[in-house]
Amino acid sequence: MKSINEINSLKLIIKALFFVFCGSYLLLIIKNMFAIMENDLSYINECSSEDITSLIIVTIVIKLISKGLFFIGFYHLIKVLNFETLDGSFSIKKINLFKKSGRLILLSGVIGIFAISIDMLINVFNATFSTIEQNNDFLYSLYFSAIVGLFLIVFSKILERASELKKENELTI
Amino acid sequence: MKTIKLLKKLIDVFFVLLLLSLFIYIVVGILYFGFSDLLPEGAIEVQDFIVKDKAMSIFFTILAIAFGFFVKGVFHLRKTIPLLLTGDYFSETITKHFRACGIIFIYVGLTALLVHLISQWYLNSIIWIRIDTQIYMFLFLIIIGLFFKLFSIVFSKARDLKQENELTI
Repeated sequence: MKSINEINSLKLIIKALFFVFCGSYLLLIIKNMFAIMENDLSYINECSSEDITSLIIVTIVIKLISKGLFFIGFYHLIKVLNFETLDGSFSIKKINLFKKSGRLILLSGVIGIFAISIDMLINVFNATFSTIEQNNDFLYSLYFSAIVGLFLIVFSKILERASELKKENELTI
Repeated sequence: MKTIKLLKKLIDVFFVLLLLSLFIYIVVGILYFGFSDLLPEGAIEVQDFIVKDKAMSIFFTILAIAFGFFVKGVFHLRKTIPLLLTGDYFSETITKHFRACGIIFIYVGLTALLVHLISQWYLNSIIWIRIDTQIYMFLFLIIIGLFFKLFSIVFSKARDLKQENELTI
């Protein structure tokens, strides 16, 4: 009883935080739209309007794809929380959602790292080292999200095993 | 098994990089806030908005401690890998490590978020929330911490199922 109460309160906090997360994503979209309307990428901390090249635009598009995949993955992860009892967390649907979210977050991390690497190379060739430090921080967070993605895939495998155990148990009874 | 092996490699590299970054962060911080008079002009370059005063040094110290705890959280995650590799998914040790790392991630995320907001307010004299990667990362860290905590409970339940199963056999 105590654990189910704890789980319910944790679920509630996670969903509330995800709501805040969505809000900040919405602001990011508005910021991006503003940058496109004003034709100035400095609004999204990318570069000033004078140095926009096609390579920079490609990098920005790849970064946006990475962010989009991350958001979808995260949304699937939140959907995992829709279970009423503890046994509900071992259902095939939840396991598949876990796997899907893990794969999407991992993919977003890998794509993001690829985009940042291109960005870093551009900066090295242009000798603009000031942005490399910022990218370095971002690289760490992407690397961490890739690790989290892999952990979610592992979690799905553990839950799969737990689901088998539950079925065996029910059959024995 | 392949996934766990890949995870092991990634987490090992991440852990070493984190330790190295923590060391650099502390050394640079101590030099900047404590001994900058002894260093030649321009020896340490920081972002323009970082002013050298007592409040900023306090923010820096809190963040350094939070960073240290984050490394400890990753250390707990790393400790689960050998157990996962043996296939002992439902051991009490794994659950304990997930729970510990979850709690650490929640506190680190909350601390970093608070320091970020307070330092922005301190530097700009207004409550100014800048939507940047750091905010996402802190929120993500708190949510992932909560997830680890939640699933440590679910895995405890799975352990009970396994024990029941073994007893029935």
